[in-house]
Amino acid sequence: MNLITPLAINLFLSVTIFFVAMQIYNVYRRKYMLWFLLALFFLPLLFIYSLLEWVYLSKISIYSIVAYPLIIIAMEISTIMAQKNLLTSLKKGEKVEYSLLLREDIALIRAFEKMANYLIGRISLFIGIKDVEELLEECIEKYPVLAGCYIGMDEKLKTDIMEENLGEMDYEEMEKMCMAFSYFLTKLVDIQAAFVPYTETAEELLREIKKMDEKIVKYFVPFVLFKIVLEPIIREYKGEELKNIRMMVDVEGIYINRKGGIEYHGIYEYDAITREDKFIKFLERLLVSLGGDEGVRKRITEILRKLPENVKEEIYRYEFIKKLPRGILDEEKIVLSSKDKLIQELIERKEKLEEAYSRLAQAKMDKMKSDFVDIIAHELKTPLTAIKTYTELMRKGKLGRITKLQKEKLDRMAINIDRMARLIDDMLQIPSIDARELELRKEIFGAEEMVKNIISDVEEMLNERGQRIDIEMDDGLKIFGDKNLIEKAIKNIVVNAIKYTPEGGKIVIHGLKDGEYSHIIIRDNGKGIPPDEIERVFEPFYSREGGAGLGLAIAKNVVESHGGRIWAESDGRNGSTFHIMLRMRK
Amino acid sequence: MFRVLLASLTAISLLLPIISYRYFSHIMRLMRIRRANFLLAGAALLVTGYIFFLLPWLFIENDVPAIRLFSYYLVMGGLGVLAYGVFKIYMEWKEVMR
Repeated sequence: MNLITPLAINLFLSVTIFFVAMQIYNVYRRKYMLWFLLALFFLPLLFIYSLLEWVYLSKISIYSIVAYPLIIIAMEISTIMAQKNLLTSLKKGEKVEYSLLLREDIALIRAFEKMANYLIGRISLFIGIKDVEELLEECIEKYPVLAGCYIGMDEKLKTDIMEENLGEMDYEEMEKMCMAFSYFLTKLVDIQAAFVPYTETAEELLREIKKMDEKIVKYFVPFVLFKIVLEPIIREYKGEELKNIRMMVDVEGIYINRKGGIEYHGIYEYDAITREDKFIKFLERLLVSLGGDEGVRKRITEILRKLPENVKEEIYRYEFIKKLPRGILDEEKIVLSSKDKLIQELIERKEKLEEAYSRLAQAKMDKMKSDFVDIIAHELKTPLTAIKTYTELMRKGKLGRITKLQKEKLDRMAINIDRMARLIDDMLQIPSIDARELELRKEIFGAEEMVKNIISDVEEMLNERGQRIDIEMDDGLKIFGDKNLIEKAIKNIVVNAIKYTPEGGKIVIHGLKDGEYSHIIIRDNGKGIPPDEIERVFEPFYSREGGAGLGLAIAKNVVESHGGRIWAESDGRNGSTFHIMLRMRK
Repeated sequence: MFRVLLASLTAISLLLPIISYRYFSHIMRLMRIRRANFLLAGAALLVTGYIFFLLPWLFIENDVPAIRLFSYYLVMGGLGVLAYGVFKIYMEWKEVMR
């Protein structure tokens, strides 16, 4: 029976586990991890021993089997030691364990327990521990969530039973617990304030909070704001003055008790921002009740500035500083608003810079495109001229006699050479207009005369296809612009209309005065342009039926470089209409 | 003599996991990172495999290769689950520690 394979796999797995555990120890160096490592170290040993024992079974005595339970026992003892160490570490509430391992609700209970024990340790000197026990019982009666808390033999609050009975808490339950514990803490603070000056108590409590883990501090924000920032001020007032303040300052569940202590337990029902708002409202009313005393504002500012960093981080998270009444943390407000302005300015500058970059990139691209088309067109035109000359010479028989068939072919060549020359001329026009480099020779000229010129140019085409063009022009319609270019642009549209109109069809050219503009409309009764393609007809090299697809792109460039508008309309069935708007005067 | 020695050692080695389990469940009540089920299942399979491995020695004072093989497969399953759990813990802690 092959036992070697499973044994080898087991050995491999146990070594892998050991190395992964080593990696955990690398990122998380704790004493108990060493114990775990020791336990895991025995695992591969077990399989190595098993391999040896299997191979040399015959030579080893029966007592060799005893090694297995011995190795297992060593492993188990190491595991127990590791667990014990981990438990102690968790109980001590060391910072790393708090942030990495401990459940948030348990950590919160521990934090409250620590604060309560700090206060109990001091007040038990003035009153008996029995009174503290009674107070705790009263709190448990009011807040059953505290059930399981008790005062131990060492006169300290214990929460271990509560922890053991605790299922994992949701946020709502955590809030209830905060409410209960803060009630208990408030009562303890009240007792201590009767014997020790409150400012001293507040400072000592703040020192305790400073040590807390940042995840727990958020639950102590109301405690800090009400009990440490505001209560020292309120407690300075006694008798009638305090009574007046109490009457004036009462914000939905947050009020001042007879001793001058603030009770704020209901505040845990709200989210962090609403809590902040409630505090601000309470503060505003307090300031009003104190007659807008500037000294009070200064003192609150001082206390807020002295808060430890972990608390400040939590409190200043939202818009707390900005919401504070005038006279409190004014300098910080100025810094914040100038910071906001600076950020806004930076964002705006960044946007402008990005826009400039993209414009520059586009311009570079346009220039490259123009240069490219320019070079290509010129490079094509030079040899083409030579080809055309020699073709003409051959056709006319000046380079020797040619047969009828050769003449036919040469005629066809000449037609194609002409077509190619026209295409190159078109291409040559695009870059110059695109780059806005062309100097337009602008003048005022008659639209009707120009249209007639165009018709005479395309007459041959019209005759070939049996089409006709009707003109309807307003009297004295003028256009201001480069006559040659505009004529070329409109001719391109007319040629296009001729191409897409069936034989025997009709094209109409209207010329209308439209304010300061001449409105030229070219309508054909061809097959029209599909609506989804209408925007694309002016794109360079866009063509529906072969051709270079440059005519309309050139027309658009010409019209737009004159500050005019060009657009097309079609329902995709009954022909298409092109509109051109050009200025009549300067 | 051999059987008494082996039985007493086995008894100790089976008692210790019970103590370990008590600590384990206490820790798990406090812990936020939860891969407990993998670790527990892995450990349970390991212990079962170990018991099967020792059974022939306890009762007939000899080896039964078929049972030994079966115990190795049980242990293999346990180690696989354990390796997965440990690896997951490593990935999670690495994230948290960052």
